[in-house]
Amino acid sequence: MNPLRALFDKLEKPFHKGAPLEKYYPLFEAMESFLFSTRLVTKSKVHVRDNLGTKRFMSMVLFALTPCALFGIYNTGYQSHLASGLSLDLVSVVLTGAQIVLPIVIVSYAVGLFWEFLFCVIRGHEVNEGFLVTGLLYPLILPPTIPLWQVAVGITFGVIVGKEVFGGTGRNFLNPALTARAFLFFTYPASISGEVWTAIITSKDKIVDGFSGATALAIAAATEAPNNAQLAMESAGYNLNDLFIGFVPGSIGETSAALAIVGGLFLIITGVGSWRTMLGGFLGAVSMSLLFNYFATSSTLPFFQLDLLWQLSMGGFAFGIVFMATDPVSSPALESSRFIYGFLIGMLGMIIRVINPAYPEGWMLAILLMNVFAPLIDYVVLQKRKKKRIRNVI
Amino acid sequence: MKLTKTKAYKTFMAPIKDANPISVAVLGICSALAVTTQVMPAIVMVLAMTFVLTFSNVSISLLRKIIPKNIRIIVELVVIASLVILADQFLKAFLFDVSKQLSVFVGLIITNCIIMGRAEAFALANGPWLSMWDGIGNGLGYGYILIVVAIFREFLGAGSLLGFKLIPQSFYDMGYQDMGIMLLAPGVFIVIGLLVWLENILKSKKA
Amino acid sequence: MKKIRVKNTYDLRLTGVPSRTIRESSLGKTLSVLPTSISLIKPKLSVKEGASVKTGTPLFYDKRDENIKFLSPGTGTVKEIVYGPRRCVDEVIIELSGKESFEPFKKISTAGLKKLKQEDVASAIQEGGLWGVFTEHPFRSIPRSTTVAPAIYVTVDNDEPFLPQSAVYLKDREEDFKFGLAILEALSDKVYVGVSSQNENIKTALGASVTHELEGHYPANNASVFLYYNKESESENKSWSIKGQDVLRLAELFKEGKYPVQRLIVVAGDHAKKPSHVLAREGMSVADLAGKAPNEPTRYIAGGVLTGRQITEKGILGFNDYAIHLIREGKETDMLTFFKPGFDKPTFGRTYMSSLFNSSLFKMNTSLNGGYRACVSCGECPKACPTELLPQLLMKELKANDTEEALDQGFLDCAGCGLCTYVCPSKIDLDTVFDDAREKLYWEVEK
Ligand code: SF4
Repeated sequence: MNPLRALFDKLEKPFHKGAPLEKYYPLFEAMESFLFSTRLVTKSKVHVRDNLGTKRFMSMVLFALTPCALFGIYNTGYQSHLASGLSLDLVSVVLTGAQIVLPIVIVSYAVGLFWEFLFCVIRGHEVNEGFLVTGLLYPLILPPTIPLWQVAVGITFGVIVGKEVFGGTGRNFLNPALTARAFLFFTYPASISGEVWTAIITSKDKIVDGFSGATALAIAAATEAPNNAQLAMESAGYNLNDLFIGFVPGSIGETSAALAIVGGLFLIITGVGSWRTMLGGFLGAVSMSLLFNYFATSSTLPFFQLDLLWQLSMGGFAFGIVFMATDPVSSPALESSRFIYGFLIGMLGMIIRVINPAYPEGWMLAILLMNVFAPLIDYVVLQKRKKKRIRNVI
Repeated sequence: MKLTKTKAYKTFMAPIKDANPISVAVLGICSALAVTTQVMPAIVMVLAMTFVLTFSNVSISLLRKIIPKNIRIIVELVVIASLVILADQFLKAFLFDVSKQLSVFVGLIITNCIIMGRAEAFALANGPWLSMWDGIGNGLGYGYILIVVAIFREFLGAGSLLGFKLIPQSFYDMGYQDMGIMLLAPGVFIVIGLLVWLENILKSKKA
Repeated sequence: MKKIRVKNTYDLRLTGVPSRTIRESSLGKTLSVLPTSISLIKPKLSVKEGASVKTGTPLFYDKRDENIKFLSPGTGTVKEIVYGPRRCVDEVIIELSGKESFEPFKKISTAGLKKLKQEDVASAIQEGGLWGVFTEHPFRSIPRSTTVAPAIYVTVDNDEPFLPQSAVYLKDREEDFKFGLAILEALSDKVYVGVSSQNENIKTALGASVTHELEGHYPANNASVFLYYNKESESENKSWSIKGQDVLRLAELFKEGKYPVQRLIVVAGDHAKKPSHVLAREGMSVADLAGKAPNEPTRYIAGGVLTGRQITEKGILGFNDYAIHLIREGKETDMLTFFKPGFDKPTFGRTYMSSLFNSSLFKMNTSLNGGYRACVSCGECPKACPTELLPQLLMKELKANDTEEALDQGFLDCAGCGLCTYVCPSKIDLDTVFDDAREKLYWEVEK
């Protein structure tokens, strides 16, 4: 037998029913089931079961997130070095990036898991893997400049109010990662709705001349009437290519639309993320942005005229639609309502981004809002579905 | 008879413990949203509220036999309104600053559902002695939630209590920031929500 | 011949497939009858301990309807009656005597059948103890003896792993089968016969008797699914169904005039010595039928692996059981499974590489393959539901006691196939929730 397995078998004793550490069994279970496949056997009449468990399900999302996370580390370092005029070679950039990003990720996991374990021990149920995803999603949608203690406060709120109050993963109706971020957004607006999102680790006086660090969105939203938003962004040094690939300042993991698409494809291929939500979100954003183009005149906000491709490559659109909107728990339950849900997210997000200058980006609020409406969409779709069936009641 | 066994005591404690107007009946949320950004106005509001509640309960209870059924709401309103004006004038005279902070909310005590509710549900059916205790009890039951919420909001949102800065400047220098959301209306919902959660847990533990 | 394409089916591709050879089995000293294994009846005994019974002597009947009788599968004496909690009869043990003698029933020929009225045919079947082979939907109970079926659905093939194959039990018995169908036609105006679309041989052998071709993997050939796809109005919800092999038994009862005790079952699973078809009779024990399992943890199942009852190594073949499974209990734990590509992990979705690159059979075992979790609305179960229900919503409504809403969404169409439970990553026992709710509803309706 595998020595590790033997070790765990020995370790298990004190956690058994009646043994002193019984209360902490969820802790042990989480560790054990993380390493080994389960020893539980079926009880109901369905004697064999599929190999897909929630662990596999959630780790698929983690796989899909990995490119974005790695690129996030690189890009954070890159932006930082760019701003302070340091060398741009790979190793040093990655080191700087890791130095900024890893603490955020670690705080997010450590604090989040602490709460998760606490509730599991109190309630006596097993640790749900959902948090593995939340714990990584959340740092990726934070700006690299965020103070670590705020990361901790945010994830505390996200886990407790976004999830545990309702009974834990599966029973929440809001996306916990977004709840956490939204809380930070309204609580510490200075750190998170600011326009400069480049973490600089050298002393301030080293900053290169002409560095403004304003995000593309901030520039676009701030452009005044007769000017052109696209030109304004271009003159600030942005181009479509960089926006799409992600070499721009922004939240840690969300800058790269390209890698979000890669992650999205992975989710679609494995069937873990709903392609209907993603397609709906895409179409919603496209149609809204075309609508804005159509109604753009010289007197409307210059953001209206912005080209579709720019709109889609900027900010957190791709990341939000791929990873946030597809969270199954807070989405509607029916596949067909997921399309409507996605579409409305796309439209709403675009509206908030373009029309409301107080919010630099719209996806977080759009997705949270639609999370709340998800049951309503389900209800309407369900009524239609019921009509199609031949009734079978007693 | 022991104090805790008397009817008056029970009437007094019920709204504080089991039938709290805010956390159980979810009444009077509107004023709870408005006046709890700081502790001081919350306290004043609680006092005004308890005053109005107690006296309206007592007077309506005294009048309960002679109020004709079909115009009782109007009579109740007249009583409450006079008491509210009294309270408002008093605050304006002696606590002008706070009364300015509270602005219309003292006047709006008239519409506070708790007062009307107690008059209808309790004072009309019970004698003045019990009604008085019911009024005080409800006022304090409302009050303690309000003050707890206000403590959270003022401390987390502004770093102070009763206007005294509690969080030292050195914290701010180290990067601490106040929680902006606590000063906004959603903060109240979050805090009250968490309080209700806590209360339900405690209750279910006891049961 | 109409073709029905069943949506949302799944091929489990498990190992332990029974071969097509037929093995004889020898009777032991006793046979046991399990009244509690028949769901939705209230059994009442008609024999006492010590009574001597012939093959075909009534042992017990449904308290609510005396015509629903269950007969003795062997000749001998009633050795013991085992009572369970609340004095329900758990087991009737019959000690076999050497020579078998049969209770005589009236023989009915093809010509004779034509002259009989519907009630006569029904009472002949009830006398012969085979009324219990009919299933009345939507509760899948045994119909009352006086009801007339709006339609009878015959399912010839079985696609659940593993049940007797039509190619085996129907071999050279097509004429009997057609006679059986004639009996059904005497019971109801509409008789539908569904055959798996891949089963060309049977289709040609039965010719015009086959009315429907059922296309899809498990559970396309399930009677409830067949009914769901074929029904056109609400009145058909209460249709009956019968398994192909039971049609043969009906024919045998009428032709021979004695209780048909023999039936073909499969003994399958990795831990069965030689998975194959076995000629068996009700009441035989697992030991008689399957022998000893290897010295490893083994689960014994009476019935298919997705709908069967769990039994022990001393278990008994019940009235409705057509299979015995011996499969591995649990599995070796392996490390960090959920980070591996998983070429050897069968799965319904596409989360393991096996879905792309592996077409061989998978070892079956009873591992839960995950921990119990709350539903995460992953949307797998609706994809697996052959009757296009939304199992996750039904489950939540039933748990919240909102039966009305569940019924409104079509809960009674549920075929009980167990696929939703099979695919659920949160390992929720949806089937138990549904079975319990259906049973509760049945007793509410029946009082
Ligand atoms: S398969 Fe399980 S977890 Fe997924 S939706 Fe259905 S019940 Fe919920």
